[in-house]
Amino acid sequence: VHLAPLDQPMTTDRERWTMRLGVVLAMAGGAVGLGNFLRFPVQAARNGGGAFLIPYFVSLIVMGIPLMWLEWAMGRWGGARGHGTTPGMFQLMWRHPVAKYLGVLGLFTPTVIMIYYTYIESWTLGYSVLHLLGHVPAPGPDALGTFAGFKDAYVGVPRAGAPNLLAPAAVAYAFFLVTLALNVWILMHGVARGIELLARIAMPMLVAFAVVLVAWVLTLSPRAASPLDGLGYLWNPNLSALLDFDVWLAAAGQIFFSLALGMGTIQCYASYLRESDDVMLTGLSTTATNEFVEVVLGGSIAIPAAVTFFGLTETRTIAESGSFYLGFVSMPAIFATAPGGAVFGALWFALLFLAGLTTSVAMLQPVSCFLQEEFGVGRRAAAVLLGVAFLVTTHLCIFLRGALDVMDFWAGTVAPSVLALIEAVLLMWIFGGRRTWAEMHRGADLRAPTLFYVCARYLTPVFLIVILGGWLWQTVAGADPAHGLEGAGTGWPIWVTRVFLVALYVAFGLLARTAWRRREREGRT
Amino acid sequence: VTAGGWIFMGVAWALATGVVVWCYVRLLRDDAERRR
Repeated sequence: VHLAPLDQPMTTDRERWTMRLGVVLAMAGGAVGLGNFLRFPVQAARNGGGAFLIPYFVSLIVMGIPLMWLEWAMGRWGGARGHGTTPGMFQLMWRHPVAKYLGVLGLFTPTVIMIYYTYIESWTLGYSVLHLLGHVPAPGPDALGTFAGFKDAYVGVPRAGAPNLLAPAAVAYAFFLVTLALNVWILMHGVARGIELLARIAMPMLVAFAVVLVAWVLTLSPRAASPLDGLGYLWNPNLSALLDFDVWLAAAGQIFFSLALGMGTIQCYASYLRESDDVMLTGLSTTATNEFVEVVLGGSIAIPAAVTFFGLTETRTIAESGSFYLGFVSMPAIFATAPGGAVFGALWFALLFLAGLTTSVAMLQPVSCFLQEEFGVGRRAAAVLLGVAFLVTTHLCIFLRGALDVMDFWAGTVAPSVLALIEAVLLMWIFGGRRTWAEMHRGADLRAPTLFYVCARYLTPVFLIVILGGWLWQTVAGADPAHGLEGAGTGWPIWVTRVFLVALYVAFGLLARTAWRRREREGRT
Repeated sequence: VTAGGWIFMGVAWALATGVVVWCYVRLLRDDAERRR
């Protein structure tokens, strides 16, 4: 194992964040997404209520906070040496030929997530505008059925005679184009005047919208039940759940995905820090912001509202139907019957849109940064190039049945856990635990207690192996052959998507190899 | 909400809110000190 010299930062003319609060808000914006408002309450309600918070906070301390600090430190270290993406960072930290190919995960993952995430994000924009304009159906006697049909019509049901092809509404396609264009426009303005400015405007708005919605939900007049019953449904502890391995797995998974770990986005954002910038307090602040939005705000809107309007029994069914059902079927059905529902519906989906937008620009940045740094593509040209690439590739998710689920399975679930495991081992064992810890504390007033060192070196990798292994075991053992490994079916679109994903990884691998060779020729490694 | 529910919700909310407030106060204070 050859180690890169620690004391040889390269002088680079990289873009920089303008203020520390801006970095924290941008990072928090990357982490706070739809999952904070939809996935967390569903997971908590399904897995022991208040008791779910015990494994949740244990996972946060053992895995979430240490990984967050490691990714910030790795990003800042790489940025000081002219690398804003993980292939270069990994190769510098571990001079082994395979390192850069492992680092390709940090390009592959955000790119694939971006392909389907922009489309989902566009649904929230579309639903927000449709609520504001009053273009939603009347609830009728079966409000949930009405809005399930509305969502199917919006997103697209299989075409008659071609069950593998979806036919979305024209309005859904139009909002996708607007959403993608907005993402590209922000990216064109760069880190400080694009992403940071967006975060400084969007994050306070997001919190304000969420506070208004929490206040509205908690003061609703009782119908099938009261809002307090809704809080009770979410928080009343079922302590026996603590003995269930699946509950621990769900809690660890929620912490992991909620903090957007293992995606290459945190490292990329952190690469725009200066070498003397603190990563300890800023990393902790990002984590704390995400947790506040998730636990306090995210838990107090959708599930309590569902219990109030539909009662406990129906809400159990809603929670079992998943996050999308909660967000895009149950919530619109509530807004359709509640006083002022059009305004609050628009607000709810605007809140989700802001959460999605700050996350999607974070997903775009690594590959944009890679094109700029490694191939000298201009910032605006890179943004336009990516816009065209995503415009083409997202059509897989828009029109092919099951493509979105296959992408989410591999890039949204498997790849981040694998990348996080690799980087925990790379930083704490190959690069060196003490060396990483010293790098992490450079320029920081805050000192991490020794407990976190032990966690990062020993417990975090073990935790990740258990999560990944347990989850894979659950998935493979529980897979229904009729629904395929990804639960998305077995038709030809599934194979087309799988082949696309492999080809994309190989393409990124070739680009990483070309980039590294070019740097070697120019003596910039 | 049962007594256990209130306890879990109260502790979780207090922890989440307390840590985020502490972080932002310290961030702003540090920034002010550095500017001085």
